[in-house]
Amino acid sequence: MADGKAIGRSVPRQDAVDKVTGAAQFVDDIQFGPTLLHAKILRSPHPHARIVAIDTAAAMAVPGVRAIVTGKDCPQYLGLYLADRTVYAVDRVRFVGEPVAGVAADSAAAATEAIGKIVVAYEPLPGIFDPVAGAGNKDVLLHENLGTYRCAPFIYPVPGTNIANRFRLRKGDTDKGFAAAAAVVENTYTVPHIQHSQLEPHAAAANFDRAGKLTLWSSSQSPNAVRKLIATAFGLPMTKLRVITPYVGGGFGGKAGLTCEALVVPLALRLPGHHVKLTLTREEVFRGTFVRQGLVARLKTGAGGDGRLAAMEAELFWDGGAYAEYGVNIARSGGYCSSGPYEIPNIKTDSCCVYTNHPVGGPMRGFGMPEIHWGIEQQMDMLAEKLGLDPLAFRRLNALRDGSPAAFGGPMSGATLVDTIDAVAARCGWGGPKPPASGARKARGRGLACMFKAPSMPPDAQSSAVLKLNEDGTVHILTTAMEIGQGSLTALAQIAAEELGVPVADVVVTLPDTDYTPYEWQTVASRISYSAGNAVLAAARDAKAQLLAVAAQVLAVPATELAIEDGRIFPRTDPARALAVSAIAMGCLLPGGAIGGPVVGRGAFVPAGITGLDRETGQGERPAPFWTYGTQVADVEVDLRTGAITVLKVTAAYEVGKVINPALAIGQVQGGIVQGLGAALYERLALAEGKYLNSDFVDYKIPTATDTPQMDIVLLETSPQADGPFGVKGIAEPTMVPTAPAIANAVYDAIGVRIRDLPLSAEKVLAALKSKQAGEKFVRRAP
Amino acid sequence: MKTVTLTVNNRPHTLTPSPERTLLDVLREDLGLTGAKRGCDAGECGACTVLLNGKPVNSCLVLAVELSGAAVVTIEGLGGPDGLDRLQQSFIDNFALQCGYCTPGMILMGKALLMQNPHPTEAEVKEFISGNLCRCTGYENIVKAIMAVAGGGEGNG
Amino acid sequence: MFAYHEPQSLAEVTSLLTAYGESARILAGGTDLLVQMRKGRQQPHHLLNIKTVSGLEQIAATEDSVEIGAAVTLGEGERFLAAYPEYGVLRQAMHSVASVQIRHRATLAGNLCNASPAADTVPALVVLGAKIKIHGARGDRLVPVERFITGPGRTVLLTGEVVSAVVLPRPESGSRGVYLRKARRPSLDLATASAAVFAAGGAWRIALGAVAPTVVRVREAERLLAREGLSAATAAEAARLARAEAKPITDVRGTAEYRRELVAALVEQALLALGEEGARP
Ligand SMILES: Cc1cc2nc3c(=O)[nH]c(=O)nc-3n(C[C@H](O)[C@H](O)[C@H](O)COP(=O)(O)OP(=O)(O)OC[C@H]3O[C@@H](n4cnc5c(N)ncnc54)[C@H](O)[C@@H]3O)c2cc1C
Ligand code: FES
Ligand code: FES
Repeated sequence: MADGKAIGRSVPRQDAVDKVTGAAQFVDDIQFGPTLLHAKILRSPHPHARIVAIDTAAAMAVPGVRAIVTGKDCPQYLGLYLADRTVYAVDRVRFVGEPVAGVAADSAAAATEAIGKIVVAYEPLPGIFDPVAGAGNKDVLLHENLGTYRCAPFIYPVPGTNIANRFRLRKGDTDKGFAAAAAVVENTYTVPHIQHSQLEPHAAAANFDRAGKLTLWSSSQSPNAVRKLIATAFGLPMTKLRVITPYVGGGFGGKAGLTCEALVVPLALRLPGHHVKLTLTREEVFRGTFVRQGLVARLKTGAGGDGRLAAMEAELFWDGGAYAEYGVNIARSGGYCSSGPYEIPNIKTDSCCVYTNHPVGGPMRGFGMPEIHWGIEQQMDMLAEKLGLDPLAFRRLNALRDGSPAAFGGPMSGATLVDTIDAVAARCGWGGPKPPASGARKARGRGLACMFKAPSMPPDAQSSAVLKLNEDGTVHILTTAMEIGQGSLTALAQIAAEELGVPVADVVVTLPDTDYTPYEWQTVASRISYSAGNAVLAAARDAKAQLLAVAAQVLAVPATELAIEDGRIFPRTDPARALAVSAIAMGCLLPGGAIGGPVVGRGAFVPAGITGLDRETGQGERPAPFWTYGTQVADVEVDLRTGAITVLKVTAAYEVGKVINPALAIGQVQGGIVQGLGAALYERLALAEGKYLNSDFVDYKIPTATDTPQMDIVLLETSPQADGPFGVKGIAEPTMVPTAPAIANAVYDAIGVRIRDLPLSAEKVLAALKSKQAGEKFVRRAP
Repeated sequence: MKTVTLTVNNRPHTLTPSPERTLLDVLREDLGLTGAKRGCDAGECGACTVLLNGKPVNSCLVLAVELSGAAVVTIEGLGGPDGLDRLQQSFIDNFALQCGYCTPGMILMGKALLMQNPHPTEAEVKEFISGNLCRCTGYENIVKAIMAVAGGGEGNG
Repeated sequence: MFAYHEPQSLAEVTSLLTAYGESARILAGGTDLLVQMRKGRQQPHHLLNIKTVSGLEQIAATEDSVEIGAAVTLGEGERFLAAYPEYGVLRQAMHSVASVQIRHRATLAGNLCNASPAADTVPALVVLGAKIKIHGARGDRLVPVERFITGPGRTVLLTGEVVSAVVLPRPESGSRGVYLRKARRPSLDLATASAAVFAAGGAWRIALGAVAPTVVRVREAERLLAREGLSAATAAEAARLARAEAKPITDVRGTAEYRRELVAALVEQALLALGEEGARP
């Protein structure tokens, strides 16, 4: 697809001026005035305990306290894919940080004081702190009622166990496959919990007005999901619940679904006329909001003497945490993508989301893909080494190609891994000589990793858009797609401008307000440019048809012979006879009377032909609309004395169908690489028997500017998505998927040690190096 | 309670903050200047950065009562009626922001750096802003945005 | 809640401290104190802002010493010391603390008085032989830095006493030092382990940070270097001695074993860096 007037251009961000001037408002920035009340949450200090009694009398007596709520006040179960949690713990707490009570008070200080005066009697219970043990433990059950929870039809809880979802994939015959393999590698990989660490802590404010309407301001990626879950839990019709999401200071999945919004609702319902606001502290973000699930992955992979992958077996134990309402679907995605971006004829995968007394696992950039590729991509390197093959050539040989059967059986379309491998190889000079290290006792290494990712969503995840023409010919687009930093406002404006033929500067996309903006499933899964983009495209087409119909009458030229460019409508054969869009935006008054009327375009989209997967075999046709492919090469240097890894350079290539805005897309890759680098080197929520050893930025480190490597990024458009607007596929999440395994492979290249447990802390690297050296000494001394 | 007279973005203010309140609290809650953000309340993220007597500080770690006679500049104090500060414009041109939460702090750090060192190297820029976390951009474009202004001579801000 | 005070003189500080006893805390840059208060680890009822005491913001350089007032920030200290290469070790240590923003508020005296085992400036002050000037009801006293900190969060300060300055003796000319640290992340992170080395004439001093409740001197290595001079071999031996001398703990920033490895690596590296610097014309 050729670039257009708006598409394919690095149009400045629509929200940029707001954000560089401080004008951009986030939830906590909204000034509610004298009706403001502050909410604070009492959280469980125990990973697992029965709540014997809660005494709020002393807390209620604190001056300034207006209301206190506990689990009993809102015992309804809710959840996105599996309704397994309540807003506040009712009679049991299952993780440290679980909300037990909420207080609303005139001041934050009074609310905090009251929290300290609520007396809760707990009876501690034995806990589950390991997903592998938890999967087999039938004595300690975290959810005895698992069998009775409502759940999505493609989620398979195993009642009587701690398994919240079991996904199985059976394809071919792995025993035969391994028997024929020339090389087999079998390893266990672990991925710890990590935190999204968006810079903006979660915040929500609720106002229950005296007429009985609840308005919720929320820092959320999912305004419609928030509305639906809260409306259901509190029995409100959607006409009485309005969700407004101003700018969101970073999401990465951690603000998807329902996060802290529900906590303020029961408080607000008791305090009509007030605005009850809850802004989480950084510690609460760590302890009380979604984390990326931990994973224990046992992988066995085999390849034939011809270098072709023959078989794999995967046992994936996802540490779902105390509630798995969202995490269950990660186990599913991780399961049906467990082959990685390769063609493997024989596969057996069991992917279980296991309840533990850990913080609640939820979606995070990549939705299971960074976790599974951590192991898969190291397996690939090990197999290549065993077979004496170049790791890049080995991957190239096994890459899924157009029409290749995927792990789930169906044919892959638009499988462009090879394009990204070739692009990266050319860019980084793969196979060239290793540059020297920067000093003595340092070692250089280079590593490669590939990835694929599809949007993991229900088969009917919908988007819609309304496009309004204003009297001056400018355009407003209403959607509930959320700007979380990725640039959706700008990209959607570009799509509309291109289709409508107006300058992109004249198009403004508004932020969500569920009373006014039409439905959007969620801003997750790297699907907004694709799905909301399609809705916006349809709305622009609709509006365009209306403009053309009026113009046809005004210009007395058939609509089919008219074009719109730069806000002017003209006959293709006679561009000089142009009519400004503004002249007919409200219709037109002709001698015979008015025609047309205000132009309002409407668009809706749901991907067609997304199918389910068989419960027993995980086989099916097309569980997702597209896969994005990518490859990264990391150049690292390891300090042999401290074990510290410096990532010098990352070369990355992604095939995205069509780039709407190159600068925005590159920005996604840059951000994803550095986030991946953080997960690779530093990030781990350290938990001991369910208690946090780190829950602030003092001891949970994310990358700073001095960690940023040199980055060389290539975006390819070799396989436009047939049903994507202008051919677009998703890019946001895939960017961080291969970074950690590429770094691990580079470390192996540098110093010959394999680290299978994230993160690659300097300490771990040094310990591995020392034990390798000790082993070598031992070998050398042996006769 | 102690009365404090200070200027914020060149405008005088007289306040009587209760002693535990920070400069960040006062800016956001009393003065309606919400450009400085709260990301950690512990000096670890830099989202609350403002210029205090010309130097960048974490406003979450400065008590408001201490500020008699101080001159504070926040993101709202940059630019003017005739347009954006050059650094603000450079952040736009270089796509140096995504969610925008770190942006006010980053821009003020860029201002502070260029005031003391008009021609920093890339490594100096990175080190200077390393007390400011950004989870979105990977920092590359932020560094570029600051370098672009440094390369282009004096800022007009 | 606490009351806030702006004493104008050291005498006033002392009388307030004496009057309020344990419920009072000195507020310097506040970068430790305010964070600890927010985490509930300290709940003082009175904060005495030491920055309002006149004179404490000064740095006085004389023939025998450089005296850094208790209200001098790390940023100011760094800038001042740029003209004194013999204090390079302290300057490097100051620069490695936190971030630009923190260094504009945090004081040298605060870093010391907070008495964290990981405090960056303390190993540097130890190798420089710094003395701490303390003001109390009975006048001033000088305490060597090594005796000043008695344990994590503990100092020799008595009720009513306040640090008024840090006094750096003038080392003989040509003295040089190096401060190295390793943290989990290159920027804005507390040291997992650190080492300061200092060579003055034929004498050596080596101090380790974050590997024991208080800074550890590696005296055996100091004597070895004094005896045999600096070479690759003595540097390696000094590293071995440093590892043996360290008494680290295991925490979320690193295990005891890793900390031992680190101090060895840091001491050797610092010594070799000094050697290279000395070899330069
Ligand atoms: C994000 C962050 C990162 C940090 N990183 C580092 C780091 O990398 N390395 C490091 O060493 N430190 C670090 N620190 C800690 C801190 O910044 C330093 O210890 C700083 O030097 C403390 O100085 P201050 O003036 O802010 O002390 P304050 O917080 O004001 O005081 C600290 C303590 O000393 C007492 N005190 C202060 N001055 C006196 C005095 N004159 N007489 C008697 N008692 C006094 C106070 O009552 C208080 O108990 C970090 C802090 C933060 C918030
Ligand atoms: S809010 Fe002040 S540094 Fe994070
Ligand atoms: S742009 Fe989101 S934190 Fe920097």
